Amino acid sequence: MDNTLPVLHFERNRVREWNDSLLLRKIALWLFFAIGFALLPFLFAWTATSLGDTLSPIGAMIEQGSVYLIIVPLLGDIIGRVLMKRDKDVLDLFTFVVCLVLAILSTFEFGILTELSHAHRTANPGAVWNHSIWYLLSTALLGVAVILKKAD
Amino acid sequence: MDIWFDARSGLIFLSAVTIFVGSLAARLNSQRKPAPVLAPKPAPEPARSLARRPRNDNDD
Repeated sequence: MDNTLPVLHFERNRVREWNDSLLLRKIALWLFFAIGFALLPFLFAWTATSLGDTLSPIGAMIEQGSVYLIIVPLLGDIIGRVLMKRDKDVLDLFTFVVCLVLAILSTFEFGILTELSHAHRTANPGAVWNHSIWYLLSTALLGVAVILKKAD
Repeated sequence: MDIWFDARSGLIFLSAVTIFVGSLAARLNSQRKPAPVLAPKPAPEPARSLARRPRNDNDD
């Protein structure tokens, strides 16, 4: 009986360290396999610049709204993680609302861009760049926040 | 390429930053709680007195 207490303390610390490393692994996994893999088409577009006579394909992709297409399934993943939590609080509700608003905005702006391109009209490329970059950063932050919040 | 955010993207980004900071604070706060004691501390064993020592025939 006397020997069990230090062992219990040791095991508790080991469990805590394991949970912390597991959390970092989950965040790294999400950043690499969700965000990184979603951005793979941009990597291939970047490699295409050295192969052919293309005029900044990454810029063209972003101005056509490809980042909006990437963001929406990532937000779906985040919303699913929020909804799967057993005990939800106000912060989870706020996260859900922000993700939903961001998904609706991205879909709406992609629809507008597609409609403009079909009508042979041009959108403001600066605004599309602006929204794409900040929406993507917000999505990455939201994903990391949801994984942080889901304490195991 | 214009990366300075306008009101809409700025609001979304600030909301995301708020959620991130709140989640980080909640995570750190949950780690500060003391761990529950799983086993009670055993009482010290009383010193064995000579009077309660079992009698041995070889004592004499």
